[in-house]
Amino acid sequence: MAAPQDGTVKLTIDGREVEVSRGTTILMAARKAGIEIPTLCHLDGLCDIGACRVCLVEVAPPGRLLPACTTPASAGSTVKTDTDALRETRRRIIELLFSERNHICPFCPRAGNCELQDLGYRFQMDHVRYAYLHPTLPTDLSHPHIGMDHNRCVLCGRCVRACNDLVGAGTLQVSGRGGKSLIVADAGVPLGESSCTSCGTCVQVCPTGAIYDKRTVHWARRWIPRETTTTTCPRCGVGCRVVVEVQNGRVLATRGDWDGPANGGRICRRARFEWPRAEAEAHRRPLARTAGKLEPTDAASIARDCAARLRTGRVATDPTRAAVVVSPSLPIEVIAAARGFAEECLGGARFDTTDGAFFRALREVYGSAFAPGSRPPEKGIEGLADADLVVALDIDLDEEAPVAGMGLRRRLLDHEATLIEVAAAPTRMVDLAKMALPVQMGGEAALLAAWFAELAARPSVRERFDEAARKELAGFAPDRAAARTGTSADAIVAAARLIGAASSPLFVFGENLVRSGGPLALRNLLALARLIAPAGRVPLASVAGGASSVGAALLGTPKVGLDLVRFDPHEIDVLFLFLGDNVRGLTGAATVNLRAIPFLVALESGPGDADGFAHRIVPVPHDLARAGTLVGIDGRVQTIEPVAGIPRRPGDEFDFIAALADALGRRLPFRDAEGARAWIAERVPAIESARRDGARIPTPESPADWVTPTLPATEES
Amino acid sequence: MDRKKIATVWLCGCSGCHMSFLDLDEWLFDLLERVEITASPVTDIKEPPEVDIALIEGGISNEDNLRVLKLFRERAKILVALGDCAGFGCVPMLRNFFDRQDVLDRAYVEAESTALGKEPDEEVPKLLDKVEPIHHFVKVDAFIPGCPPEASAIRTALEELVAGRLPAGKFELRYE
Repeated sequence: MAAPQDGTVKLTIDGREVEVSRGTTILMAARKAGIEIPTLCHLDGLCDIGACRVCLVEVAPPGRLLPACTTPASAGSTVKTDTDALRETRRRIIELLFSERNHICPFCPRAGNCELQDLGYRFQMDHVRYAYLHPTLPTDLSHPHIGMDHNRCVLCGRCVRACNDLVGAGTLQVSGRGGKSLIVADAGVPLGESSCTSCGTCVQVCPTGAIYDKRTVHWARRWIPRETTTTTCPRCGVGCRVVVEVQNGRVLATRGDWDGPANGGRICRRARFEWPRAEAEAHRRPLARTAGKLEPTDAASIARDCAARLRTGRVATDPTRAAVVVSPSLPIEVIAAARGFAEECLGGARFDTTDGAFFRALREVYGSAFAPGSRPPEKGIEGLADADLVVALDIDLDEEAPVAGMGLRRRLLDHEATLIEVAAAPTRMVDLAKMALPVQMGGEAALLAAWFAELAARPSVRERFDEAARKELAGFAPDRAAARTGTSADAIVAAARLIGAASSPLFVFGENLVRSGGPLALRNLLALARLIAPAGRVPLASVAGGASSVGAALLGTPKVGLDLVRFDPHEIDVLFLFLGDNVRGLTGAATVNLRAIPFLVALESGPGDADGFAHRIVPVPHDLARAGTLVGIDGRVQTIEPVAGIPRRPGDEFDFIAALADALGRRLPFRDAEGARAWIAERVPAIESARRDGARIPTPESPADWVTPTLPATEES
Repeated sequence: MDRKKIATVWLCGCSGCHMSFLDLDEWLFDLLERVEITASPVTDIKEPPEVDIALIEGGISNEDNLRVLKLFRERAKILVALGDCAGFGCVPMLRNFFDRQDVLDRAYVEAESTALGKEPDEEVPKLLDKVEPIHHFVKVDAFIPGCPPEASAIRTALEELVAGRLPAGKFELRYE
């Protein structure tokens, strides 16, 4: 280990003495001294490769030009970053870049927004002194969203490094040598047929017009003002902070906020390409179904129709025959409004979120440790950062929490963690998994019981179990689990060994584990987690896909819930479905049930799954136009800001609820988002304090009175 | 004070740079107090006399472009590349990505509006293999980039040139 005095070096940069820790690059040392060295291939957050030479500086010794981004500061050296000779050298480097391919600014859509062009201006390049090479290079337009024009590529390699270092996808690579190099996907297949996850990080980091968003690239005009808003993407529970650029009322680009606490600059395809698109096709008017067809109507008639329905038939005297079901992707203010509407205004109607069944199952298994107002005592998704073994149980992280999946991929590629994937069908991440256990639906509890039995037999924990317990555990032999799961006993044992050998395992799961494995799977998972980690937070991470799933759960289990997948539609006369942007869609089973409802009102921003059978459609704001609070995975509290420049349309859930309450002549606990916030703050003060501190809802360590299952169980036992 | 003589010409370009020059509006009257515009598309005088300053719009695409460029170079004390075509090649340079003969065939033989077309062998100057910026052929003393250059950049450059100075670094660069 280096002695403390060896930890730093002193050098002189542009006459200023700088002290930095050993290994710091000249670029970073200069930045520390407040000196900015021009760069092109460097990007904070990516490893440096010294590809472009724009950051060349004079270093003595050795008395020659060295790239600042890859040269470590050396003790006693003198660095000059801005001399006439350097400016001339940099200008020549820019000219070489311009001469190499087809950089003709006037017909490049990135003109006015291009780092290469900016460097040309900065170093006064008013013509190119080298002969143009003008190679004829291909353009790859095979991907639905991303265009790749090699003619405009400067081979800085930022896209390759982003795809590998930030995203962990490893799709983009460099082929060939020197100036003939090309950026390729998967060793040379069209991008649209490659392993690309469509996150578009390459678009975000490309300094020129080489990689671009096909939809918007030709819209951008330098002279049309742009509006920029930083907000939170509501398309899953990760809570990525996103910078949205708007021009002429349309989203020009979204990019990951480099300072976003949950995403560090990354976003997935939803935030990059899907979320911004939906606004264009938003519902403009309320619709009513007459003779099987949806026809335009107005908000007042919808309120009257709903009130009339609620006063007719059995629902008039039995409020539980009305139900309100809310997408957990909406801000918690809207979820609270829907809940207040159901429980107070409608006098005890059923209320649920579409993922309510998952949280009910979690509450049942966690018991006192997951009380209203708190979140489960889990390590959570943040545990991915230091887990050395991740067991993904019936979850496709690329779908449920894509940016969290990127972080995991990176750790898997770096061999900092290994992955065991348990899934009926392999996910895209399976290529990075050490083991993949194909487990039939319903076999999860048996698998977890078998793992428990294997790990309980280890000498270190064996004495915890008495004779009776050991006898019971013998019933969970791997071969029995093999029959139940359809995966081999050897694989089950091998996986158990990996789990046993891990110093910090983490089990990640979501709604599918409960849907497929039932409550027993959760129970056995908790027992297994407790066996591995008897104290502190359990090494589990429950991943709910809604942007406010955890927030909705914090409000507590509703008095009378409604699981869209399992309820009896004959028990419901009127159902209000708050879908917002239809982010999660409706499952097939839910759709079958909903079709049987006599009167269904869908509140949605644009076309969605309910359009085929809803009796009324109430337009609500698109997520781009919303304000509110999201409480997502790991209890992260973030705000969603209305994106500046996106046209506002009147009418939202609060207006609908207020109009209906007035038509019914009933009172509401609150009538707007501000009232909702106060109502929430009263019930869950932790949300407001976390919002103030930019923090997450605290997780309880395991409470003293918490009793967890000590043995697994299966249906037979 | 003797008025400085200026000549301008438009080679393989679109005339946009001259339009931007005309965008100087009433300042042109101030300019005319100080300079005399000789050969120019604006005056429709083709052959320049000996001049102090020549502004060249457009790159070099055919033999006649090259002849005119050399003539202007011979007769001008200061030769200026006006716009991105003269200085960089710009849009006309797109044809460099195709074979010269293919370009001619497309224009004169295959074009939908052409019946029994053939490549002209007289009256039309012979196309060079590639379009190139003017500094590949002659010495250029100053560059005013832009597609077209902003009128304000042209004005600043002319103020400097008329005062006998080179304008490099005096205006904001722009390639679009």
